[in-house]
Amino acid sequence: MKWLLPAAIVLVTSALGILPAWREQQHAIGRVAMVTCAEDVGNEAAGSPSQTLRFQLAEEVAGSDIGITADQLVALGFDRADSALLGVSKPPAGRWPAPRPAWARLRPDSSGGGRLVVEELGASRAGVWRDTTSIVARVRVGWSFRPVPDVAAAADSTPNPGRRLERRVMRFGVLELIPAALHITAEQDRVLRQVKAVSGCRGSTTRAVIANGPAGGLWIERVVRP
Amino acid sequence: MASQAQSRASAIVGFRDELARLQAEGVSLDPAATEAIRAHHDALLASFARQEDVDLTAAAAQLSIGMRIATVLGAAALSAAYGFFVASVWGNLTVAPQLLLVTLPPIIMAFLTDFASRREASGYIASIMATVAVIAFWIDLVAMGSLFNLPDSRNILLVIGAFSLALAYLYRLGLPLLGGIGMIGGWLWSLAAITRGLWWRDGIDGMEPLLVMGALCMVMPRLLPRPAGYGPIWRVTGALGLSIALLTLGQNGQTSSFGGINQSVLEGVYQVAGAIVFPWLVVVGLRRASRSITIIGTAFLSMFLLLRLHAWFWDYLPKWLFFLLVGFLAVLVLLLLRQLRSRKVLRT
Repeated sequence: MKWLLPAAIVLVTSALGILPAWREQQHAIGRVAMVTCAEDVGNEAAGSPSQTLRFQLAEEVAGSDIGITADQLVALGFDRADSALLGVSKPPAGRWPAPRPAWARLRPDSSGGGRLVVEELGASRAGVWRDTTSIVARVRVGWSFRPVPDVAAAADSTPNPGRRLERRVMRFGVLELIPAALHITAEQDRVLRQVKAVSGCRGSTTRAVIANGPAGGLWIERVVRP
Repeated sequence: MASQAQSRASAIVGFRDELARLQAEGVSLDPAATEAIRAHHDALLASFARQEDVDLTAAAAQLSIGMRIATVLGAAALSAAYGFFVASVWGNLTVAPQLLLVTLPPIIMAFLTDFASRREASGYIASIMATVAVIAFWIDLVAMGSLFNLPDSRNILLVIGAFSLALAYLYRLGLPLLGGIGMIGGWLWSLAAITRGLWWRDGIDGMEPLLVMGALCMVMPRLLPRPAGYGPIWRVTGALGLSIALLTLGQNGQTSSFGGINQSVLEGVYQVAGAIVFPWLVVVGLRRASRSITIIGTAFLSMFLLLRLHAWFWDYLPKWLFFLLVGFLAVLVLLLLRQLRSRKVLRT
């Protein structure tokens, strides 16, 4: 009967993983509807047979043109000196400040709901304000060396667009939603594939309703046909 | 499945070969004493054969190596078969059957490990069953995490490591022990993220935790002396962890968790530690008659010396002189090792 010990490890771990998540999914406290299509479906978790749906994140924190202030950085656990990196056009030679876990309030963007806009960041879940039309989720925040969004348009007036160099700067933002993608059922997967087969993904108005639990859990509640 | 029984059986076989040679060369031996030793050895070998799988000839030992390779291949093939089967039926199932499909297999495989270990003394079949159980448990946790959108967690490494070590110690299996050491090691390594306020995956960049874990693995055989056959696995894993961490830290201070300290000082400290630890590993390997630890110590000592010579002299010496220096050093190491070997041979 020695095998009962490893069997108990499997059962107890499975119960500890499933039960809190299952209970949370009975009490959604926020919902957002995101435009989606079959092209967003993938298999994100290595080793998992489940299909998942990925959503694009808008990096910037609303109300700040360069992303975030030094005080906000400190509140998230970064050094005050790290704020000197904001907008720098050359990446640091040494080690970059390591990404940190944080909580974010997210809402679909106003231009059609294809991206999640980061409205607020906080070090803890309690530090982020929430309402029923947004979701509060765990994220990883940190630094990236990215193109400046508005420079590309402005540079159209340059004499030789073919030789135009993209201007890149150090930017702060959300690097990853945790979990990075959300599980969809086989039925939801079929709906998304049917829509793609009939009308394609360009200009899709199919929406996935993401529900948010009190402990920050996220799940796809339903996929709404156009 | 190296064990004390196997090493005693090998010694007996070697003793008998030498005895036969002595008799062939005309050395006179007391027949009564020779017969008494033979009878005692026969009884010992019979008892070893009853207890576990021991190789009594060189051919049997080679076959055992083949069986170990077949064990790894078998475990990999069965795990792949299970993974592909789950993927093929997953989309047609609702949540409850999906959960059963991933939760039951590790339990069934744990039971089959128990069954196989009782039916087959060598442990090869049990090893395959246990390895498939560990991989099935991994698939179970990843699939559940994905099904319920759970955040990825370091604790997956802890529970799979605990499951793996439970199978290894309950049924005396080497392959799950290696998996267990790797998983628990990964979990301990990720704990470094807590002190720095990072997400667990981002904490696995500093090399110091690997250094501590390597040292811990080296002393584990003293803390967990049984089964005796596990000592070499712990020590070899520890020697590897220790050596990789020291070589990396000595070469690049940016891989240290102590980011605020002057990098040149950090690298210097780890270089001094490497200069002490790598030769020490060679000595430990020789003392314990462990070929693996001796090879690890020698290989890392050579790499360490080569990297140091490169860092110190490459920019200042002509290329021919640099390589002459490396060649001279290699001869010096060879002479030193030969000296150590002859001392060891004379002592034994």
